[in-house]
Amino acid sequence: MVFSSLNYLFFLPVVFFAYWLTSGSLRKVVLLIASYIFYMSWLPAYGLLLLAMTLFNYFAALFIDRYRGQKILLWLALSFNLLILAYYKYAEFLCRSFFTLISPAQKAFNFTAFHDNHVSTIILPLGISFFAFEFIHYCIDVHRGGRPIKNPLDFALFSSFFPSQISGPIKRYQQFAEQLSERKTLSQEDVSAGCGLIVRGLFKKVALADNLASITSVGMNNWHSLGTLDAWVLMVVFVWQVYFDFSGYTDMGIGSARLLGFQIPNNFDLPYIASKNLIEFWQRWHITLSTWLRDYVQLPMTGFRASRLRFNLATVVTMSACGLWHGAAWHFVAWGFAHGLILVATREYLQMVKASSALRQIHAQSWMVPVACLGTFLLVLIAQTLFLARSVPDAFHLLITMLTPCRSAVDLSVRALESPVVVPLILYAIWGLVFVEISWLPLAALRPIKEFLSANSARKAALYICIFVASIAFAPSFANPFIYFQF
Amino acid sequence: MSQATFAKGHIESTRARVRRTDSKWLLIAQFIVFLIGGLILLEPILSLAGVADEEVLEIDEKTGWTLMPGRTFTYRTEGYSRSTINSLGMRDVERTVAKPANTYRIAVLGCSLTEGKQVDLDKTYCQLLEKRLNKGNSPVKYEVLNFAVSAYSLGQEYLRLKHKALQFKPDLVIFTARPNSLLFMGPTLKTGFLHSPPLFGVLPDGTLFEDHNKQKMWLASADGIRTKNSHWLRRNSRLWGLAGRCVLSIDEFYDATVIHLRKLWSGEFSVEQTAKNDTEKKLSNNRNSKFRPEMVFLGRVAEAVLKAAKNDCQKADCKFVLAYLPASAKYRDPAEREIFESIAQRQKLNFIDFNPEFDRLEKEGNNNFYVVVHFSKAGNDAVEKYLYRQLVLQDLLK
Repeated sequence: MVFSSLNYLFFLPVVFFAYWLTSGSLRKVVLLIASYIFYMSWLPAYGLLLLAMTLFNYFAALFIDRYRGQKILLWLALSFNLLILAYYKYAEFLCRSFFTLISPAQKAFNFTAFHDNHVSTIILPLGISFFAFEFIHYCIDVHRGGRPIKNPLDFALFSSFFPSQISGPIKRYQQFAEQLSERKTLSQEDVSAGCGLIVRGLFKKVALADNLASITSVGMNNWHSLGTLDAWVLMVVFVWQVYFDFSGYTDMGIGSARLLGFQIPNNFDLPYIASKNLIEFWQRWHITLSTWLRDYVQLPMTGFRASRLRFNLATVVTMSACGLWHGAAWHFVAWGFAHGLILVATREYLQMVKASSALRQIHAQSWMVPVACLGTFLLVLIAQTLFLARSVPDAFHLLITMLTPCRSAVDLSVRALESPVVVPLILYAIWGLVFVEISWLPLAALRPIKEFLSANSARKAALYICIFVASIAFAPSFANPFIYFQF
Repeated sequence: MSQATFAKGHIESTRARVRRTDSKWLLIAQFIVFLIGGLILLEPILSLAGVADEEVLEIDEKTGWTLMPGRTFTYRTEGYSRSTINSLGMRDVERTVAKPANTYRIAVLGCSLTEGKQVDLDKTYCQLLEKRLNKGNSPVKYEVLNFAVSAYSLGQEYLRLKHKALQFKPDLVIFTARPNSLLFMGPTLKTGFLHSPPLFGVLPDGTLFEDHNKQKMWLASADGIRTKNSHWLRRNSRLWGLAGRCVLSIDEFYDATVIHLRKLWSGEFSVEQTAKNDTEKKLSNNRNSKFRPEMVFLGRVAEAVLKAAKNDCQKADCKFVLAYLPASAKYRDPAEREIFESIAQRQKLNFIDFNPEFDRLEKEGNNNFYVVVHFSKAGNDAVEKYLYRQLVLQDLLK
């Protein structure tokens, strides 16, 4: 089930009423059943996988807590989660890479038959990257001294909570368990905020991302006949498509959780508009993944007092792992590696700025903020070629097209301008200027409009309905699945 | 508590209640005003963006339905296009009913495959053919008039020919049949706008019989009257069209949910697989349907339609061609193709069959001719090229 589908439009109100009409443990049972229905609506058998992983990690954490100091238990738990992730997500990638490495031996072994019979039949369970990471975090934190969740119902809910089940945000059990133990009451504030987030997310997904996707697919289908302008248009369209798609999903997830009285962490904080450098970008983009990687990949490698070299190496390794998490292909690893290198360069440059008064003065200028934001956006955009391409050579081909003037054969820019996405983009920009506070833009004059439109719940409700209607109107008939489902 | 204190308290609580009630009504009023204001504002915004205007059909008492003249639309269901139906209700550039001097007119009758909303107007095969024919320095100017309308059956094509196309004095009529044309000629138990077209039968002497009863019944029904009365809104309001689309989606969703729940109840847990199996079963039933009695009957009806169309064309002194359009492999029906071929032989019709050509092209590795079931840009190109070749070969352009 997808948040932007008609199924969900019926599913959510049913869960909402069933949840608030019950109380105590029954409420949790309702939520757990709803979460499993949500997950199993795609491929029922994989509900068993989620259940098996939940049971394993529940008992593993109890044992880790009981026999604290026995690292073997932690390693066992981590290995179990990683092996499952590797089997479902990386089996094909690992096999292909392995057989490419030992290509002479490949002749003796029929790789194609092996691949067709054993590897290509594996279907990636939705959201496995997300809930596997949540389980890993849980086991490590319990090992580090955290208290495990004793109530199996609470733990099952933590692992299957449907608003964050398939594409995150990656939750931390401490905050979630605390909310599970709270006595919840339905508040007008939660309903209003939840509905607001859901319609905002829906608009981002169906009015913006799905319409941008049709432009991206034209570019993808004409990869080798794109002109310079086409290549730039393709990349600009793609980076915004990914943002609207993923942040739209997150908004709908957070909004749905809010309707049920839960607050799950935010994943985006204006990454393309307010990031002055790549370090800041990763503090604003997919926040729960970057903090997870920091806490469970980078920090174990560096500790808190690592040398500069070790820290930089750890950054590159962590970001390469981040790339691999995004997809089982070498171009994703290259994308992560490139981000790692840029992060290291950024850190070194910031050290230089700290040391040089002239550079400090330049950076203190007010015009520097938008310039730095634009520069960061361009860096992200160029690195994103590795993300979009189907292989590293394809990415380099696109980069060369972007950097060397050549005539357009596809007219992607014309297509983009003629597309129905232009008007919703303008609407979204207006909404952003009115409702979002961006530090480097003087937007105080627009504050009265915000106050006028959101003065009370009646006006907000009317506004949400209008956004909802607009979302449906702008939605292309064939909705695209969320991009981050494949991760 | 003294009487005075009680009375004061009572008055205050009453006042507070009144204030609360006031504010409640005020909130409701604000909600309504803001909602209506917002929706009114949305109309021009949607119009500017060119969305939610896919509704292009209106009731036509002669043919069942026709295209709304002058209607600008954006099509996004399969493929993408933005264009305007001309003032004469055709997916075509502006034309005049009177034939200009030194002009050879080709009228193309058909359904959505020929209408070609999946591509921009200048990429439809009719427009491409017109451009190709006018390329040289010939003293004769060619016009390829597109009379196709979505969801038309062969019978409706004939009515469109009789009541509209022949007024344009064409020199050549291309009557297109799509895959499953025969099955679309049959009656359906469903009712509604697109399910109540004129129906056709064959009299014992083999002549065509038009049956407008189902259409009239629907037009007199509440649904028909509502559709007729809401014509202005259907034509001008995008939100109205959007609401209609939502109702249809919910209806389809309801049907699908009921089917899925039944499957689950009967223990078939892999819902997607069973849905896929069902579709495949349906398709395999549709294929090779040569021996089904309804196909034989519908073949006779189709023959009567084509005979009537050919006779009308002969009376109007214009040539007549039957063109059998291709379909993606999934929707092909070899039996139907054979039926059309034999009708063409019996009735001595000029016949253009696109299927062998498309089979050949697909064997060469071209498989981008369709957007779902309709022609893509490449599909329109291929149809136009083959159509031109065949018109030249069969000497139909003079």
